[in-house]
Amino acid sequence: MKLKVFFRKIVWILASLAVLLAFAGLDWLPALKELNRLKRDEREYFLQTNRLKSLISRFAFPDEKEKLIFSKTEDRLLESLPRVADDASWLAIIVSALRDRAKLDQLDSALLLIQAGPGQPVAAPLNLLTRAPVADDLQRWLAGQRQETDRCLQTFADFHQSPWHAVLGGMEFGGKRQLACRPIGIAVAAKLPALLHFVNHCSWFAGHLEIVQLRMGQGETRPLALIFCRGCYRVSASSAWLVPVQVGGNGENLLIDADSDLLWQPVDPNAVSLGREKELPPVRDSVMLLKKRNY
Amino acid sequence: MLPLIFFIILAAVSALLHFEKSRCQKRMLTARQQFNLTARAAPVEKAKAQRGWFYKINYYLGYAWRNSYAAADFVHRLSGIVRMPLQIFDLKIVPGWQNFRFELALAVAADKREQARRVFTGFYQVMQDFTDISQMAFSEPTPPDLTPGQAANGFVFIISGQVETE
Repeated sequence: MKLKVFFRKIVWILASLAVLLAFAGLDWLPALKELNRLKRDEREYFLQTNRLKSLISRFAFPDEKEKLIFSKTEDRLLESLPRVADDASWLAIIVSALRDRAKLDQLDSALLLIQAGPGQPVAAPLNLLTRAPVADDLQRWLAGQRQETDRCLQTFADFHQSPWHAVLGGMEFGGKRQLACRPIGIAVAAKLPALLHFVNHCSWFAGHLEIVQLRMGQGETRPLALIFCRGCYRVSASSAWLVPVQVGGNGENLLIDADSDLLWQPVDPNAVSLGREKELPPVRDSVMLLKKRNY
Repeated sequence: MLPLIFFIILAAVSALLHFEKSRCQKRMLTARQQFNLTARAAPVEKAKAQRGWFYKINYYLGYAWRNSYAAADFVHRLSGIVRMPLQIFDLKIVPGWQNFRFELALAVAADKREQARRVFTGFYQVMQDFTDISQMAFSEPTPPDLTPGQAANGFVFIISGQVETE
């Protein structure tokens, strides 16, 4: 009889323990975890709010003057990206500007190398100095590196390769206009002073051409250069050279440290070194000793 | 009776825990709301993004000019120090964010390798005086004996490096 009572008590204790464990495991423990998480979150929000309040008290928010500076900067950016109907219109602007520049800089010979579309080989070169025949040494030099030229233009056609894809790639230009970027090659034969002036000047005109690679070699009596550039423009019709809008986002952390003190104070346009068109010092001819490659 | 009291105690503990949880949740939501209201009222991040954008765009607007000048100026300075029997064989310049990489192939007309190396070393030391060159290395002509191409072109040394444009 005593044994029976003892066993009943044992069963009762075990059953109570099981129920206690079930409560603890299924209800109390998850509730305590949740409670801890909520307290942590509350503390975190409280600290963040205090941090933000202290930050706001020291932060110089943009006033009307600063907003005007932002607006002018946007205007300057838009001016630097020609607004064209289609790819052919942009090319016409570039060809005309390059022709003028080639004449002004007194180049002996200048050719424009372009692809019909991304991934395609270079089409027949376009003579930029229509009154002068294309120099033989330039043609031979180009023929020697045709494959390399094709490869370079194909590489530069990929806007992901551009250091600017993260800044410009995510931008929208309103209306139906979209950003397009296209690589071109300019092959030049000229005396050294003229050639260097042309290299310096080729980013000056409306097309805002950016040099992505420069190669130099030697012709019969003068240096030769192959300048690969990239031009960006706003196009309204469909274009083979469109930059996908989703590419690169807004370029966060690309150039500016998000925690930089610079961002806490109003911008000062005078303190920004914009870089301006700058002429080279006088270049003497015949000091550049380039050696003709024996193919 | 005892089991009933036991169950009531367990249920009371549960109820207390859930009551505290709900109170904490309300407090957390209030704190979050407070933070969001403060952030929305003072758009610090938006202002910082606008300023960041301003600096980036200004850098972009001057980038093409800076690059073309830097490349032309480098070739110009190089042309001032190349003297016979040294001749530039090939030159490649690839601009980057705040610098450009270059690869320069120099041919040295000489009969012997040691003689060519002496001339090249003199030139390399002058190039090291370019204060904007941050990295530079060269490779010696290989193979050591003159190949048919080298016999025609002289000993060709390759210098590669990086020039700071800022």
